Amino acid sequence: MDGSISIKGTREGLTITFGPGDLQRLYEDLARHLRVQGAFFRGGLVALDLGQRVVDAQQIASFRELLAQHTMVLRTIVALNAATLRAAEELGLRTIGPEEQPAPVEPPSPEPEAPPEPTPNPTLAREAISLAGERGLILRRRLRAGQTLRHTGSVLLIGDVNVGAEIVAGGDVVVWGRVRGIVHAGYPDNASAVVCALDLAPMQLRLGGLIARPEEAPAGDRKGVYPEVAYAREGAIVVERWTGIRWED
Amino acid sequence: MTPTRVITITSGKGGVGKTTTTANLGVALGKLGHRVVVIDTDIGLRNLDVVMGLQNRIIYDIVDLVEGRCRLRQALIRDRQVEELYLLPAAQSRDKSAVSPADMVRICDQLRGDCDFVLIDSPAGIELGFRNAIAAADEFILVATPDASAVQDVDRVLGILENQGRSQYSLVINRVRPALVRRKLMASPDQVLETLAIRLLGIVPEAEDVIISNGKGVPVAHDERSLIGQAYRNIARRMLGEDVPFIPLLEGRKSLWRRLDPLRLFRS
Repeated sequence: MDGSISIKGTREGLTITFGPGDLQRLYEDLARHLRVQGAFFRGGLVALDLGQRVVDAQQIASFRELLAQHTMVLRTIVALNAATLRAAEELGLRTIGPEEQPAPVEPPSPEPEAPPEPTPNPTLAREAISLAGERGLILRRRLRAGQTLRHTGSVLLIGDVNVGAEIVAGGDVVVWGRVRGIVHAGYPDNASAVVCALDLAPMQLRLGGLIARPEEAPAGDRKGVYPEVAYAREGAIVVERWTGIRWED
Repeated sequence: MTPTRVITITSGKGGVGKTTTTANLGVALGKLGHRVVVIDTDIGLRNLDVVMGLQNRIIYDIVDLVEGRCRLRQALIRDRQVEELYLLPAAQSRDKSAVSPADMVRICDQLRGDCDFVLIDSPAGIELGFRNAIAAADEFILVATPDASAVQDVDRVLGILENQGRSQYSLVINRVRPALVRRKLMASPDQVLETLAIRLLGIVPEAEDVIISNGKGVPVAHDERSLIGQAYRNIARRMLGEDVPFIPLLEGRKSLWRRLDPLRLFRS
């Protein structure tokens, strides 16, 4: 790895510090490092120290996506530049600016950040999620047993969630594929989140604090396979065939 | 000489047939005229020597080699029947920590250029023994029986390999019982592949042949009349890039097996 990336582990997560160098080059170096060491860091929360650089939201998002591919969650941006900090805030990330430095980097807490407080009106709640500036995460891959994808916003996965794999998202979860593992949308307490999948036969489904388990029937025995959506109604999770759901109710 | 292919046979779960697969692929590749070294990395619980009937010939083992008590040539045991098949046995005493991943890379680097295939028999689990077994490999053969726990363990292992940027893997589905599959009491190879989504290298039915031949120390791949032996020989030929049709094991349901086209199922 290039000498200008330093990765420091703490009990709560990782701090990745970029030294001098071209950002694209650093991205490639980090990608290479994660490919080799990815298993070691898996599931960790990450603080990224960008130093004095000016980095826009799109570039930060690309690092977040890179980390997510290795099932790590970018949680905090440490930067000296005001524009960079604003870009990070736009993405709903925690920021640590110059005034908080050089005091030691605040250790990220073990759980991802809570999504915005839900309001009583479900339509408004959904708006609130998007207004928080939390961009969705789009990933194209298969999640295998033992892999967990965590993200503070909504997740769109193009691929299957195998038995023993898990998605934990602050917002909604859409899976263009089969769901056989565990999906937790609206983590930790936003039960107005929804889960949509082409083939929804999870081990367990959670919306906010609600938990549902499908009837005990092997996936192969089900009658037909069609897209479904899971949402909360009157304090319980209901799963309906997708036939053009009207959110307004 | 083409470059040596170092291939680890692994599964996560124990008892699914890693050692049997390693021994039989070693024999089958050897019978096809390739020079093969099989390595047992299950230190403390060595088995591959027994399945190959070489347990009485062990003088030095992999720990002796790593600790400098012998040279590589001295530790390699030549097979009783196949001219160019050699075993590097595990140690019976000691444990997995007697060998490191770096040791495995060193041993395999020494073998590269000297043989066509190095087949590494991995221990069960995903701890140090497994890390030793995968350290030097270019390719991986995953072995799963059709039951849910074996499939899930292979899936877990695939996730670990993916995270390390390893991408050359293929699958052997072992101990399939066609009668149970037909009655939907056992997952079909199609269902296993739906979850694992990797290249299918072969399907081996469960049969007494394997138990008997493992007991005799003569891998079933030697037996020209055995269907199981044929299955292993076919896998060896597919490893060499040949397009070998799958044996129709489920009489009356051949269409199910014809769909198992390895090319169609291959995903990177």
